[in-house]
Amino acid sequence: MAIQAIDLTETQDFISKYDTVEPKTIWKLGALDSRIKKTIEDVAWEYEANPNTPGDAKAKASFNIGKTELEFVQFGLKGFTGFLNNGKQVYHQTEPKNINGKVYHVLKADILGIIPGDVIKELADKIKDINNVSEEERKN
Amino acid sequence: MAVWIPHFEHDCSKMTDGQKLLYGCEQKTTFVWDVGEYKLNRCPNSSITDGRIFNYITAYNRYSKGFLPNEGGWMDQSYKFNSVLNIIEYEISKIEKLRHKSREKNR
Repeated sequence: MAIQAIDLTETQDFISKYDTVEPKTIWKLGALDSRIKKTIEDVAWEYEANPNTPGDAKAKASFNIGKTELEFVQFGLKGFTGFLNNGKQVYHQTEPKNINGKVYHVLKADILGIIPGDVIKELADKIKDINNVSEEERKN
Repeated sequence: MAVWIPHFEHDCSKMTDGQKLLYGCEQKTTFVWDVGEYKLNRCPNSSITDGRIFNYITAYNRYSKGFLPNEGGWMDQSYKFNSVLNIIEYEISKIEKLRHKSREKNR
C-alpha cells in the first residue's frame, strides 16, 4: 500500500521487477521535503545563455534525466534489506550532504554507484510517484 | 471531494432506503451532485475511493490550528503535504465563494 508522504519518516517497501533472485532486495522509499524536491528540480533543468547577448540563438537548455534520477534515489532511498554485491551483503550507509544550509544524511555515493542503472530508474520513478499527488488523490 | 463533505451535510446513515437510492449512497443515481469541478452520480461520501484521504484532512485541520506534521518550517515539510494543502485550500475557497453567493441571494 502506498504511503501518504506527509510524515517524512514513513517508508514504503518496493521490489524491483528486475529482481529474479531469492531472497529479493527490499528497497525502502520515502517522502522528500520541499527543499530537496526543489533542489532536484533545479538539477533537472540547465539553461545556459550569454548575458551579453540575450536572445542569442546559441543559448542552450538541457534536461538532466540521469542526474535527476540519481538525486531522487540518493535522497528518497531510506534503506534496504537483502542487497548483495558480488555475493556480499551491502548495508545502507549515509553521508552528509549540505542543501542550502541544511545537512541531510543521504545514501552514500559509493552505494548509489553499485545499484544497477535499470533499478535506479525504477526507484527514481517510484519515489517521484510517492511524492506527487496522483490524479486519483486529487479527485478524492 | 473529501473537503466538500461537511458542506453538503449529507449523512448516508440517516437516510431512508428511498433517499439512499435517490442520492446515490449505494449505487449510481440520476441525481447530480455538483461538487466543484466534478459532477457526481454518487453521493460525495460514497465517491471517496480511498479512505486514507481523510489523513490529509486531519493534517490540514492540525495545520490550521498551528501544527505542522514535521519539525522545522515550510521547506522542511514533505513536498506532498505542501501540494495537498494548496489543493485543500483551493477547494475551501470555492466552498466559501458558494456560501457567500448563497448568503447574498438570501438577503
